[in-house]
Amino acid sequence: MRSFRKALILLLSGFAAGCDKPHDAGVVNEQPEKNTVKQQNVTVTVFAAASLTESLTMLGNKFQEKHPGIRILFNFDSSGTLKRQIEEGAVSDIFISAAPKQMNELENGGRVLSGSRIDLLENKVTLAVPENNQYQFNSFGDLAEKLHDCRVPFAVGNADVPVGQYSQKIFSYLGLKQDELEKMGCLSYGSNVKEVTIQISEGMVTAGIVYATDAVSAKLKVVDTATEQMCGRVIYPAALLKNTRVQTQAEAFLNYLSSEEAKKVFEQIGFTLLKK
Amino acid sequence: MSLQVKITKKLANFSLDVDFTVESREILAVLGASGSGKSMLLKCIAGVETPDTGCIVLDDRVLFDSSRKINLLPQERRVGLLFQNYALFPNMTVYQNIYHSVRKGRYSGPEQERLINGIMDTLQLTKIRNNSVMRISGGEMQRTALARILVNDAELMMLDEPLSALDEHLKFSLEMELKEIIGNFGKSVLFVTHDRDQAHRLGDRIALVNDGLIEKIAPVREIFMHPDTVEGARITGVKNIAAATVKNGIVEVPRWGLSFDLCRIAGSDGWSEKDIHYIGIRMNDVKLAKGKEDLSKGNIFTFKIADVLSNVFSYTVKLYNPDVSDPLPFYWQISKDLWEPEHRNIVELYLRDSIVMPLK
Amino acid sequence: MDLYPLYNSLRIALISTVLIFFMGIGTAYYVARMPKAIKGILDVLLTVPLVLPPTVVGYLLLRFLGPHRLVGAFFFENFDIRLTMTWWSTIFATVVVAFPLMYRTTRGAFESFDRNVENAARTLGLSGSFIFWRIRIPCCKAGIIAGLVLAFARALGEYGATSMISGYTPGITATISTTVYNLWRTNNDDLAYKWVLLNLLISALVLVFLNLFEERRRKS
Repeated sequence: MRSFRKALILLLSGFAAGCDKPHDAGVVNEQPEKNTVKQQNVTVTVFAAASLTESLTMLGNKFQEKHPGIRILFNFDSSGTLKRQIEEGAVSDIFISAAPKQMNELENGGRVLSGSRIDLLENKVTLAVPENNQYQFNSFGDLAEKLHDCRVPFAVGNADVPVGQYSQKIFSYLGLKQDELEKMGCLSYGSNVKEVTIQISEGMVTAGIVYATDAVSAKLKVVDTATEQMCGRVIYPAALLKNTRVQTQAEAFLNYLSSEEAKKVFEQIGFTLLKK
Repeated sequence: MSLQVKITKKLANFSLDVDFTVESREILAVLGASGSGKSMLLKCIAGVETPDTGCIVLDDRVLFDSSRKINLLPQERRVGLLFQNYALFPNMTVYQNIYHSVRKGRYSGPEQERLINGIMDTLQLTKIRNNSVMRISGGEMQRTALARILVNDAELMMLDEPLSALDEHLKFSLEMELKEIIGNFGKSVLFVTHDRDQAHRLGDRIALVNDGLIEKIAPVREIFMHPDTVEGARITGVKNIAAATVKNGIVEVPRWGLSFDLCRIAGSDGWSEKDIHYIGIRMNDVKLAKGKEDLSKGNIFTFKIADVLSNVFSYTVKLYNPDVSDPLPFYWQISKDLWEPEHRNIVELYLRDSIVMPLK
Repeated sequence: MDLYPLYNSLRIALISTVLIFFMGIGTAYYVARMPKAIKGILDVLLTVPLVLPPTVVGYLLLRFLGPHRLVGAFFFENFDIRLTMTWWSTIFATVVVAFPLMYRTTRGAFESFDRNVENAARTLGLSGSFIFWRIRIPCCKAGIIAGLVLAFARALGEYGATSMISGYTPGITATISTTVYNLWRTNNDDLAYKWVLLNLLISALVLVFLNLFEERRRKS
């Protein structure tokens, strides 16, 4: 009987420990450090587009080093999914999306803290080529003449992939009829960016259209960048959410993301940091 | 048309090690218990298994010779092998099975047809020629399998446990058929069996096999009268086997309480004292003593009856010697029209010298 | 409705099945004769594509067949032939993923083929080739056909490896499966459902055919 009681106690305390939200675990277990003055541990929750995973994680760590009392918690996912989670009441302090659309929708729903929205980053749409650029694609202008000879196809993302939508805009700017090219068998549609970058890096296609950040992470050679005229701008807006409870600390992090240090990290990955 | 076989082959529990000849036009039965290596022997001769060492010569053709690295393909040996379950081609008809067994190029079209039709006629397969071989009876399967070999220009026919796959009531008539067919074959036949009666009925000579070795090879009568070894005695159906010791010219069988004169039972056959370790006596050879027997050629012994088993046409009587402290049963079989047990509990039996078999 | 994906998928599946037939019966026959240890290893190697995710298979194929990779480079540099992004590139993928199905069923059928029938045929003078094509294969017909149907169905429905090695180029490499996926991703549900129904119809026809064949065999 005694061992049964012991086991029961162990089991129950296990439950109790498990019931703690990871959110607050730090608060429960932590004793004040020797050298620090009595501080409250604050957590800032950031919902951000998946394409920002690497860069933001790095910046989050750097920020936490500088501000030991603030903890940054990230939730990376597609912008659409994050928007839905916020609408359904998820706890979040900052939202950074991969396109203005989702931020607009949240603003219209009254969930954004007025005055806090900024255009944080800009991504570029680029023309990437295989290592040896066998087919000599040197600029977007080349597309008009070279795309019709399609013994080997040209890679774009399909309509569901964000960069695919920008590609459609570029085609119409250049006067190219995408469905005609499609019928001729000149276009290879990737269902995600990875498929497009693999096809380019393996030399399976003549060239392809990807984000600057995709080109950097796949180590692709970029020969041209699309202008605002060709496809608009790929803006990543950021904002504080109305029901944040840690406004000061959240603001501090958002400001940090516009600092020189942050700029270096973002630009290394292919983003352009926009000054307010 | 003779076959000479001298091969060795290591098997799971023992090694096959044989050296024998099948004479021209002879039917040799290889008799042995299951697992004694008999089937492997046939497979080696046919070429579907390879011996470790030795040579196999059929007439003047060397089929296998390990020292000269000769190992003819089964296709080239012209040795017919009848498998236990016939191994007919399941996806073909009777006719097709036989048709494809005719060697290519040997006959012209019409000649071939005549050959096939002739064999089918002889073996009564004509009516079922277009039946799938999966749909014919056991007997018809056997005849089809034989027909294949007969059209095949085989120089030697081998049968692996013939008839063992058939029902009891078929075996009798089919064995008669088989006997006629192999008799008409005209060339040497080698067959393997564990059925001693079949070996006795079909064979000219018998080779007794035990654990891969041929213990004795001799004409049928000789084998049954003088199996020479305990295992040989068992395979040939001797039910009474007991240990024996020899001293001063007397052979003692302690557990039966019997003794025999060495010279009388083994004199002319070359058995010496130290060879004899057992005695074997066939239960059918034992006669009821009537009082007029010649005592210079046999002995009368008295036994107590322990049990009587009633067979269809005979009694098998389990006997023992009352004067022996730890007696071994002694079995006697007598036809029902010669004796009735009634209420007897003793019986007097006459054992002629010639039925007492010394065994190694 | 542009029916190219139907035509493309069918021809790819048919060609793959023919290739798989010969590869399957060949390997099943030879592996069955190998000593136990080697047989076990080969069995595993030849069945592995069955348990790998198709995208992994596609990725591995790409590492060999891409224009700058081991095998792909040989063809690209010497004959200006690209092994990827063509309609027939898919055949590499479908053969690799469907082959194990044919191999295993055929191996099972071959193992249960009575060795004595083969031995009897040999003693009667029949050649190895006759025995293989005229006796063994007809006897193992059921298992072989089952394997072929499975392989055909698998080849017809292949998506993951196909997507990696041929991409989705409408009018050139589009198959029913890559087309359906693309239509679904671009919210073209109506057309996607039409293709799904077509695919179901074809699969149903194949199965009906198989059943009829089985019935006829059992009756005869």
